[in-house]
Amino acid sequence: MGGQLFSFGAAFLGSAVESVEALTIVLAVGLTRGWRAPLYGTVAALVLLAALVLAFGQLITATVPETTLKLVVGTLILLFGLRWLHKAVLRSAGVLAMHDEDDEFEDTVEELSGDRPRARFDWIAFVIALKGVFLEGLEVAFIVFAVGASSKSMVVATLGGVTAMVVVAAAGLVVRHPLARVPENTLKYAVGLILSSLGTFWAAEGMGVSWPLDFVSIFGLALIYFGASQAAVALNRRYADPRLLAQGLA
Amino acid sequence: MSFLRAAVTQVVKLFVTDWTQTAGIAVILLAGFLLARQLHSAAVGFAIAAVLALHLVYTTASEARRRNRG
Repeated sequence: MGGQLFSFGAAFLGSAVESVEALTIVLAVGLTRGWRAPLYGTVAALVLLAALVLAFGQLITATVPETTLKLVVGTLILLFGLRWLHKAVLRSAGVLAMHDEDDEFEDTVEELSGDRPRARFDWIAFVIALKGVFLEGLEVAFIVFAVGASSKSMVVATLGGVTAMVVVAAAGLVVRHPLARVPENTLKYAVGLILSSLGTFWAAEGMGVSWPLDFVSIFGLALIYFGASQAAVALNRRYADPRLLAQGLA
Repeated sequence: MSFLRAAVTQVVKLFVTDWTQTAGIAVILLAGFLLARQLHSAAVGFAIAAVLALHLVYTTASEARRRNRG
């Protein structure tokens, strides 16, 4: 039960962050060029992603032995989690700028507004929405697949990923504006911690380590990564960009 | 074709920020793997996490220093 909660939480949080980025692109295209084509593009990308997860998920979980699967997928989750943690540390320390959804929204709107659709079906809007949702969705698909395959709870992980996408899409429909207030860096920091801990847990299990108290050990691992990342933020503050600090972004 | 290239780049970018950092992580995991095969103890798992955490502190500090100089 606890393990399944972890799987749901990791899939939900990871997918929510990436869904916000995909939503920003769809909103920008929809508000500039009309809704029909970008919505078709979004649906096409979601179908493509679902097919990828189903095909690879079935094939890999059915043919690869459990310990190998845990070692390989655990290592990939670990690399993924550490990458997010690395960026979150540098953003929290004021070394890197925060990712701003408003800026990305404005950039996409500007890029599209000069080129109005002339044809009946706006293929440009379709392709931009498809590409944006598919590329951002690849991360969602990976998180759902990796968490589901390693914990043997693909349904729970899929539920977490889909719930996140529905929640973000519903919020986007209500506000009709990029979700700039979502504390993206805090979320990425939290998801980076969870994924690094889960990745270490599964990779070590795949190596032959037997954990005391099973999944409860994940809390111990999370504590190690949390302590180190906080130390890294404190250490890197002396390299903070004064412009980022002045803007209050750090 | 450019869409396919973008998809492949995106997949690689899921796991790799910097090839040197990734190589460092791979070496730590390989050492952990060899140790775990002998000991099977949870201490190895926690040791892997501790070394990876130190690696995170080191790599973020070196990137911050590099950006600060530039």
